[in-house]
Amino acid sequence: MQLKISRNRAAVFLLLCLLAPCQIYGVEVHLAVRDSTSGLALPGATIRVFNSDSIYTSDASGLCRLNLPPGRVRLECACDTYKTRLIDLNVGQLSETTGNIQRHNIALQLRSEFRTAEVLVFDSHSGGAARGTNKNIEAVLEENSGVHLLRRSNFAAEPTVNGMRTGRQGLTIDGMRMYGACVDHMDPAAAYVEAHNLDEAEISRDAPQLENGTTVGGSIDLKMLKAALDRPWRAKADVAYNSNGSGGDALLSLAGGDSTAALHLSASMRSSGDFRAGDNSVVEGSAYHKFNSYLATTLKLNTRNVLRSSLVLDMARDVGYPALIMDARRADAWIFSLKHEWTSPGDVFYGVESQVYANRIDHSMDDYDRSEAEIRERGAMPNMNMPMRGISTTLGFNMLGRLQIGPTLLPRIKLDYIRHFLDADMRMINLDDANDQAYVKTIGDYQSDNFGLSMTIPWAISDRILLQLASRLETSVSRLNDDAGRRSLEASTGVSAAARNIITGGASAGVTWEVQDRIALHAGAAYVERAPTELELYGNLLFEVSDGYFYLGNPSIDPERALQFNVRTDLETEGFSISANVFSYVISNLVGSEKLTPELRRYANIGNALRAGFDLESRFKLNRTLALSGRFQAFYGRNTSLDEVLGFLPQSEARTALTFRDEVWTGRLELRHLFARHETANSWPDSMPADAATVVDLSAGRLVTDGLRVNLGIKNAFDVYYTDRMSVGALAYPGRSWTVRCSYNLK
Amino acid sequence: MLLRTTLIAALCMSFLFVTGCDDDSTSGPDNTPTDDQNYTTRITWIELDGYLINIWGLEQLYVGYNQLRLEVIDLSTNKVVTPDFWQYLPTMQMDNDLMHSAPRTGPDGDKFDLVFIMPSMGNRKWNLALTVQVNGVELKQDFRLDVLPADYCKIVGPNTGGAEDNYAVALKKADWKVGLNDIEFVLYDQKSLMQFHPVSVATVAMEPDMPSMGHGSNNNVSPVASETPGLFKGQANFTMSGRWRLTFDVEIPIGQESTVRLEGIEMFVQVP
Repeated sequence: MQLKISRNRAAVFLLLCLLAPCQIYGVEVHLAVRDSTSGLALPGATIRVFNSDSIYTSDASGLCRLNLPPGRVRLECACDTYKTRLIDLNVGQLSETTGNIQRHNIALQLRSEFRTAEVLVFDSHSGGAARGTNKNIEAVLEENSGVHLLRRSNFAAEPTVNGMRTGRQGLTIDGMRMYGACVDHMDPAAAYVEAHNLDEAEISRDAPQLENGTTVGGSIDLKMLKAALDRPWRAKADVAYNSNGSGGDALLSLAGGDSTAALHLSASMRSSGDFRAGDNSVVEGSAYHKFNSYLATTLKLNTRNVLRSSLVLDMARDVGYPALIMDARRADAWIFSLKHEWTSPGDVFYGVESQVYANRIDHSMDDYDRSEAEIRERGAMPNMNMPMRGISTTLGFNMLGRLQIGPTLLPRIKLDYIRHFLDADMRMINLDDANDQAYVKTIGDYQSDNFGLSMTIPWAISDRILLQLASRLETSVSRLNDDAGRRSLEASTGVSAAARNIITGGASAGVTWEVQDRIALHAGAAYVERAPTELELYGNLLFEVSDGYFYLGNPSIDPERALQFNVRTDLETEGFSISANVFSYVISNLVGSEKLTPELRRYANIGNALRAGFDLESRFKLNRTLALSGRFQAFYGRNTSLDEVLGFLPQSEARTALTFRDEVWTGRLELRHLFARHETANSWPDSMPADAATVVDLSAGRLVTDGLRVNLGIKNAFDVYYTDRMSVGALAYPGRSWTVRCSYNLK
Repeated sequence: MLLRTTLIAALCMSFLFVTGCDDDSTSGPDNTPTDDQNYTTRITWIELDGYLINIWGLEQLYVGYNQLRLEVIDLSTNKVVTPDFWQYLPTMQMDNDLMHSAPRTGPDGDKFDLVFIMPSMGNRKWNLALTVQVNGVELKQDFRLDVLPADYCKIVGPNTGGAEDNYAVALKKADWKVGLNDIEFVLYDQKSLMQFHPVSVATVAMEPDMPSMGHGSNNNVSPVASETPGLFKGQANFTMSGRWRLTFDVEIPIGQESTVRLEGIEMFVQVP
């Protein structure tokens, strides 16, 4: 099942409730607007009907009744500081019997699929409306069940899904495939998206989403905010201060447009000094500085053609990586997309979305900020400076066609092509003699051409059963264009580094059964293969700080394969909801590493593995303003061939939160407990033991005047020193941190 | 409409801007291989009795294993002629009136190999005494040779005091490149100051590393004896450019039961 999840818990579900046509000139449709985390009603949300003067407002219960003309209708929903949403309805084909507005999410998704409406998720621009605390993209992602962050610094953590890191899970931005330029994974693509520019994070955990690539561990698609047509110009200023590290951030944004063109522009800065851990120790070299700008445009060429573009420019400077032996000196990302959306006048061919994109990541790092004593005493590569640089360029094209075969079958077909270049090197300079240098291509002018074809078929077999089938075939041709890089790799691995053609595929099936109005069951199964990453194929002498080995790619490595299963159940009653999910991955051809020499390891298929997990989420609405929510997650992972624990296996954790919200105040108290996991493995460098820890966060916010909101938050209120299994080198989390944020919306 | 027009223009510009970035990522050493079989460097020459005698090399002479070629041109016809017979002897005059020679092979056709065991220093240069018989005419000439210092040859021994206990080891210079490289290693037994005999039976262990970088490499092949007396062939994996050290341990059987062990023979190469 594919979950559409907001970028933080202040998201709002707009529940579409479709009632019988009751008026001569239109159809009555009911909506309910509520906070996606707490379930609390959101009064005052405005719903505009495109191409008409109709504007509706949700009442004190978050309800709204619309009178719409038959046919395709687009709605724009806006609420306070939550993000604006566009909804496409096909009003003439709505059922007459689905009028219960308290339906649980699964049922609504089912209906939304074959009625071409959406289950909508939208949330705050600042992320502070409901939580009152500073947000970045990592924090937004981590709040979703199954997402954990692999930390190497206080910045740019790498999101994982069910413990699957980049490579096993796919991370895309607006459907654009993203590749890092740093061979040490210091530039996860999520770092280039600021939370205030995020529309939603679409996270697929179980039966996989295959449209953006074949992966064995789910996917994350970061959907960027789009420029909305017919919207008055609005500006926003937002500034925050964080006591731990004396950091802060500032944002300016401007958005608006007329009936044919719209623009959204934002610029933000984020900066922090060295943070302090829970034991009051300063984590040296953990500061960072970053600038991000985002420009999105929408052009309505005519009634059936829309052109959208977006450009992200993200520049990070002097980012400290205390868990590693080097720091990022510069990380620049240019991400450009141009998308054409065509809506067909016909009933069968619903529309086509075509996208071209280009992105370029330029990343350099060095150890020039490290002390001479540290460089001389470190275990790996002492007595030298090691500046490294990587440049990744990606050009892509994709075309998504939507069909509508009858009222219950809406297949989608997607074609995509990607050309990717990556070149990275390392220079080693003797501290005692600058003329004594060495140079190596850590990946020598890599190039790959990928072509993929995928098909997704949502099919409402009955009014209560939705079947979703998906399949994908992908072929990629990879090569190293640099002779020295190829020779070096071949000499060290003993394997030919010639061009490699890899064909991978995947298929999944999921069924959602609405047992009763308030209970749904979902089961999914999938078989997927994922092609080895560029580093697994062609990486050369990649240093892994957690085990001190140099890693070599293996051009002969085989694709990893996985059989996936999951079962989920959802129950929702008035004011209470609970969902439980069980998943497992049976992985073969597991890509790990084998030891070649006391210094070298080579990527290799090392056998089979089993990953499994369980999570339970619940939400209880105490009264009109108070809600209680909780979540428990447990993970299991074992290399069944070597009979040892897997690496990057998150600890089990429990979270509970009490949320308050009325027209003026917001508040939240959250408690997070990490369970200990001490088992380690020989074949995984990252399986470090981690102790149990309990952390408490608090936040409160107040709408001071119309447009001005102030939030105050405290993270890790009891200043607990802790780390977790996903923190490289047992990097500690920040200790107590106060945050003050002021946001002003000018309309 | 103004906004729309502006946006269209901006879109076109931004696409060109993003896709038009220069890729300067290909910085680094040029590893274009060169043809090392061409004797293109004229080491020395002389016109003698109507003949032009050229000594050609792969490059300037250096301490180590040098490959050379003799060329004799009849100036009356301006054509290359093949000598009936020729021989050569390298020597160096020492300060203490002693003279020593250098390991050598050939002549083999017009080719000969010389292992210079020390560089030229000031006025002390290597002397190459050449005798060529062509068309019944004997030509003799002493050439003064400049030999550049390098790390490709060592005189090593068990330190018993006499030159006869020493061995000359030399590395054949090549166009080193990142990756797997052929290693040719010569081993001579110094019988006297003037006599070096090639050693055909020995066990050679080789370990490449970058001493200042603190690492070595894998998949190396220690040199083993080839069909050419004194010549051992192996492979070294230079994983990156920079200064590499090749450390050789040599074990030479002497008689039935004893051996001579030459350990820790270091030679340095610069990989571009």
